[in-house]
Amino acid sequence: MKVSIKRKLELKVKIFISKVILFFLYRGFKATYKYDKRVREEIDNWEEGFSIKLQIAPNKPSLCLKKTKKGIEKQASLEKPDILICFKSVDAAFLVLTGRLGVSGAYAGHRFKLSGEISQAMSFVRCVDIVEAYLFPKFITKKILKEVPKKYANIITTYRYVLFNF
Amino acid sequence: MIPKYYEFQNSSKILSGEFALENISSELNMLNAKRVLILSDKTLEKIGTLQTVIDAISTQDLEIVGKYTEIPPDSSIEIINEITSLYKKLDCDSIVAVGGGSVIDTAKGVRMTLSQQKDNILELVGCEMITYGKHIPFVAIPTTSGTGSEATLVAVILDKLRNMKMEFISYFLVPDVSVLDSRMTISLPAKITASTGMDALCHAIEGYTCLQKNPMSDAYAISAIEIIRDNLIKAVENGKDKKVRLAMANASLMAGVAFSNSMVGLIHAIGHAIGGISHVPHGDAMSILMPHCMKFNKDKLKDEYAKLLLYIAGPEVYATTEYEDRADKTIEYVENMLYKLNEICGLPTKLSQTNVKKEDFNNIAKKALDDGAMIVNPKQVNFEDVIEILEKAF
Ligand SMILES: [Fe+2]
Repeated sequence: MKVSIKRKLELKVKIFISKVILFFLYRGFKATYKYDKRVREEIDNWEEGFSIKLQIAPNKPSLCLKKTKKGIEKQASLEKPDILICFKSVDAAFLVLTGRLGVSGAYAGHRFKLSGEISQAMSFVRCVDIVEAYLFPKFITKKILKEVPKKYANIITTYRYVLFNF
Repeated sequence: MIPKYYEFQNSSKILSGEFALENISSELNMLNAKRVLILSDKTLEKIGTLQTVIDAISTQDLEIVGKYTEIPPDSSIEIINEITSLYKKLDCDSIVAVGGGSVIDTAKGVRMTLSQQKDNILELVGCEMITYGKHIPFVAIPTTSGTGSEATLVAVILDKLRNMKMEFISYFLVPDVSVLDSRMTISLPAKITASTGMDALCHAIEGYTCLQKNPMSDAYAISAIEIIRDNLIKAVENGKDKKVRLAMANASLMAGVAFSNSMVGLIHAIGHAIGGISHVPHGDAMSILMPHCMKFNKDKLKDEYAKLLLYIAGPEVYATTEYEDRADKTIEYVENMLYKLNEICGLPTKLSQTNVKKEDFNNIAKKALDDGAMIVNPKQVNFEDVIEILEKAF
């Protein structure tokens, strides 16, 4: 049996949007690493070479991050990441990446598989919560985060960095 | 309220009550098992609990080909690997675990390693990463009424090299059969009965309140609380009462099902850290922390705690308490239970009565924030919050 055209299209659109948001999530990580003390402290605690792969579904696009001397760097791919977070479906990833479901909600709802140590993943989750507080408007984060983290960094500086990378 | 989405599983077959142990061989036969490896610990072997099981399950169709009773209270990767090779050497085809949380978690680890055909269990760390694998028939017989490990999808195992507790989470860890028989808990000392019973209560309360609560897990949680209300004190006062022992075994399993699906939160996150750093028995930590953490979570969980009053105090108290006061009253009941148990058997009520040192607070708080249980706690918790809870509980 073949997948319907409607579903194919839907998946294409969802994957495309997810990829774009993953990119901004990465920029968000870079920006908050630079401007937000909490994220910097978390990431500085990761061992050099520590790697994380966030995948929107099995065999689908992912964001690969690695801790380096410079902070956090994007990788083209990762063979054996220390932490792999792989959503069970593109639709679940789309919910999270478009700010309709928080990471804690997704974890509680068994929306992703996790390989690696849960304690290390917790630090990553705390960072994502903070990055989301910058990327999404408050009416969204209020719904998906248990508590909206305060924004210590200048919001315009952060957005400039997220959008234009400087 | 029905969550937008949830998952629920309770795949273990439950044998509860009279001659439950004697039915194990029939269950194992149905699972095509003929050669059992039995896992337990030294104490249970010494006091004869293990022999009771061996007598009950040995039949013509089922041979116990080996036993391993060296499992310590904090089981480790090394022990799992040792048992795995013993299993292969003796050509076993099934596992029966007789013990508390540590023995059952060890058995889960052995079974997972065998069924995944791996040499090192460390390759399997994580959450829902493994696939079904080879089926290894597995029966769990709990000898404490608390951990609920016989019903949960989690195994916690110590990595001695790094002094870290590793968490394995998979639906395939759940035993095929869980056996509740009062003969298994009848000789449990009063203090351990109290401590493990409070752990079960904590599972039910956290199971009823954590992020993934759902109508199925709620049903298990509230039934467990009712049974604990009516039986825990009695079990501590008179451990020889078989009815009461069986009731507590049921409550513990039900609370296990509840939290296996909705997961545990703040109380366990701090409790795990205290266990790791100060080596306080898990149930003692739960008992002490429960009221304080409930007070912390109360503003987020007022409704849920208010509803729990019906089950922890009974209909009369519930009906005569105004809505506004119900959540506080629930916490008061938990506190009173703790004090009562302290009176009867000396269960500690403060961290200062345990191994916890004030100078360890910072490390405990850091470790607690990194605990997986923290993510499903409904209220955001930060470092200062944990320190404050520890101060109050000291
Ligand atoms: Fe527990």
